[in-house]
Amino acid sequence: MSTKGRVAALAILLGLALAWLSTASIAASSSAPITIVDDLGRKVTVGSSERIVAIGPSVTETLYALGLGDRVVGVDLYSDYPPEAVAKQKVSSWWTPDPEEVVALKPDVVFYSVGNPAALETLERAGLTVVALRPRTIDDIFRDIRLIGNITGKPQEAEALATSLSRRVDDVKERTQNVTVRPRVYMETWYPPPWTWGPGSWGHQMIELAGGRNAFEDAKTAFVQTTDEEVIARRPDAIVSLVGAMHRVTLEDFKGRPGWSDIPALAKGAVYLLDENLFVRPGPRIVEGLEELARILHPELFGGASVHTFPIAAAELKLGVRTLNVSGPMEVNLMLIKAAADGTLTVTLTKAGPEAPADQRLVGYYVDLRCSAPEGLALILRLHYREDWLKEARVEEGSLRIYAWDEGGRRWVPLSSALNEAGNYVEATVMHLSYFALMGKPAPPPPPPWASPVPLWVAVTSIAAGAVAAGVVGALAVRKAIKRGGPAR
Amino acid sequence: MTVDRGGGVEAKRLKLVAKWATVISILSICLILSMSLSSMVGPMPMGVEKVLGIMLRQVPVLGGLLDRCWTPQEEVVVVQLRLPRALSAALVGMALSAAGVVFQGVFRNPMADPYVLGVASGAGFGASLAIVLGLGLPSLGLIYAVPVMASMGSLLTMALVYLIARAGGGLPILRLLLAGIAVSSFFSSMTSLMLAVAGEELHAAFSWLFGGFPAVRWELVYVAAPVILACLILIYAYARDLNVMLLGEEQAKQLGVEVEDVKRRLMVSASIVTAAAVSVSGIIGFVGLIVPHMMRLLVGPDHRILIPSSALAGATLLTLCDVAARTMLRPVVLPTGVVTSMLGAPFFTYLLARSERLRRGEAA
Repeated sequence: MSTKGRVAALAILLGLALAWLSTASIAASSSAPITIVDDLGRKVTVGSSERIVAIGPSVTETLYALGLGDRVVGVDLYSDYPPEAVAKQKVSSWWTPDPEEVVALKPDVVFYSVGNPAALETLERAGLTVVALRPRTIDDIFRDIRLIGNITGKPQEAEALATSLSRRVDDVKERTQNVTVRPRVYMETWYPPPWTWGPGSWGHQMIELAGGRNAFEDAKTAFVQTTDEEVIARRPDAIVSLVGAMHRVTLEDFKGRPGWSDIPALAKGAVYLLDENLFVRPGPRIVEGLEELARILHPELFGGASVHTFPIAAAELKLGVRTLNVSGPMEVNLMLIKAAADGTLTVTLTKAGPEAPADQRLVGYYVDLRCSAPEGLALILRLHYREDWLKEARVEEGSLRIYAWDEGGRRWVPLSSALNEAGNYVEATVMHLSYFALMGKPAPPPPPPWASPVPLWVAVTSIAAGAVAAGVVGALAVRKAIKRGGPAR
Repeated sequence: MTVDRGGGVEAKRLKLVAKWATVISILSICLILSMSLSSMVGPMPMGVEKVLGIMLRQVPVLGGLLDRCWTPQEEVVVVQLRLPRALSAALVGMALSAAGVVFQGVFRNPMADPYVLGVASGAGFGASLAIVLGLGLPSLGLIYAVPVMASMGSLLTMALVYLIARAGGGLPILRLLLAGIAVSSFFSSMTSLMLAVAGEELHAAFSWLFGGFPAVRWELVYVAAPVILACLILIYAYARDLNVMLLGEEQAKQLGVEVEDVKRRLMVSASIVTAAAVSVSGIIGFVGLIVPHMMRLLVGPDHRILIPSSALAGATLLTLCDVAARTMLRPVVLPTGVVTSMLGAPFFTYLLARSERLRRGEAA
């Protein structure tokens, strides 16, 4: 025991001595030391930054974005962007970086995207100058870009990068801040079990900035492990699944998950697979992810292919009806009857819209009609559907009607519509512009042949009565057995 | 005189049987209640009558007589998500507690738990291997690779421990324990190795090692339930021998118990039970260690009542802990293993303190 103790003590002493030596050597090579406070609130003094080790793919991406690729001497195993980074010396895993490997590269500074606090400590004890980065929000990400710039002597470049990124964020924000409908988004980082973002994370922020609402906005943690049922119960309008090396999933998988098929997002085909690296890595590319997300949630705001604009001349309509044809993903005809003034009519076909009433299913796309001069506009809206859409949504053809979204009452109102089953279209007269949608009642499941209606309470009561009776009989039997003498040993 | 004494013994035994019947029926009712609670509670708001109706609807003949007052989605949620979760929590709790009783009894060691022979680390290794190799991906249609590899890992460990311990003939307890520690630490380090090279699958491996019921499916229950129930019955058949073995192996031999045979069969079936449980839920601590002690405080050391009551209590405890894990921080779900210790440890401490007070009260 005592020899062991002595050996251990010696080893610790030796380690300390080595650590002291390596710190000393770094201190010697420093030129203009700068002291900063990193994301964990630690004061770190960094001398030169000619040799940099980046642990965490987001750090590598930031360094390259600042034009510091040449100074990077080592990266962690997951750093695969930009492609040049792959050729760099790999130090080890991100979770448990090997201090010896890092020391061997003789870095002036190590940027560690934490990660594992224990590993941070190990790196420090090995005498390395470690700057810990742990962004939580998009602003943190930009702050870290500036921090890295200050340390590496590239404050202007960092400022320029951070400013241009935040300008892009502001641009998205500006476009989406006045959207009438914010779809509820479930963004999946992992399954099974479902993992998603909660408030306080940049993922949550990205959903909100992109004009959506996080389906898990009430969660108490930044990263949420949850259950299938929780996702089903929240009825998200859009599902964004982040796929990549960490999470491999296909659109087919979603249909196979039990209970998921009736989630509005699946029913209307609003399931999207996006590159996880644009979302889970808190680096500059997060803005690309945000832009992509916003385009998906609000294609109408980003010049999506399904936006159609038509000029309207009021005088022309006095002479007769004018027909406008929209041939997007869904065929739509507008027969303008009258207009009070000249203007521009915008027709947007989108999959994201207000959720259908509980007893109705959406067929095809939402049709968002807007006009610069909406007063006194009247038109006949004809929505064409395809037979396979009915099959997909399991909707009875006879029940199809056009619904209009009542913004004030936040509900769908059925319009008096004319169905043409032979021509596969429905028509309705429209006096106020809003969201419109073709909806129908789901076909009832075929009743089982033996089904005869016994009210539930009768069944429950009789079963309860049966259980009580069985219990009484059992108790009596036990008592009788005890009276008779019990089981022999 | 003799007749009287005989009558006294007889009356005592009757009392005991009555007491046992009461204990078992109370515990069964608790289990049924907790499982019902587990299937009633969830994020989808559904009335009690709906859940009951959905469950009755699944009964072959009677189900057809009911009229539906719920949506197909609600039915899927109850039948495909809640019921397998409640059932597997109960099964795992049952398996771990009964295995705990067996290991504590055979080793005559209060610190023994179902993982004493390294089953957990073997399972952990199997599971993390499957995860790292990417076998557990849903898109490959191999979602059962992880549980299958976990149970294979645990059975492999068990066989290794057994072979090492048997090397000198017989099956001495000390060698079993030491072999268990050796093999277990070997596989733990292999698991750490897997985690070190895991890369991006790290997340999945960790979530498995924490233990819980994140992705239970009926198929898992179908496979695990018969194995667990059959082994439990086998274990119960040796309850009386376990009682005798509490006196020591020598004594037991003199009293006519085939100690080696009994030990081998008990240990193999307890390990298989544990392996089945681990493959369903990952590694859940505490239940297998504490529930047997809890029940020993409540019903006494006789294995004939200790085994079934531990199984029922363990099932109830784990089901309730799973409900707590799902509801405490909604919508965040905690790993069930965390909740088990968090709720179970204070309760056990309370029982311990109470029994101490009782004993002192009796002495005074």
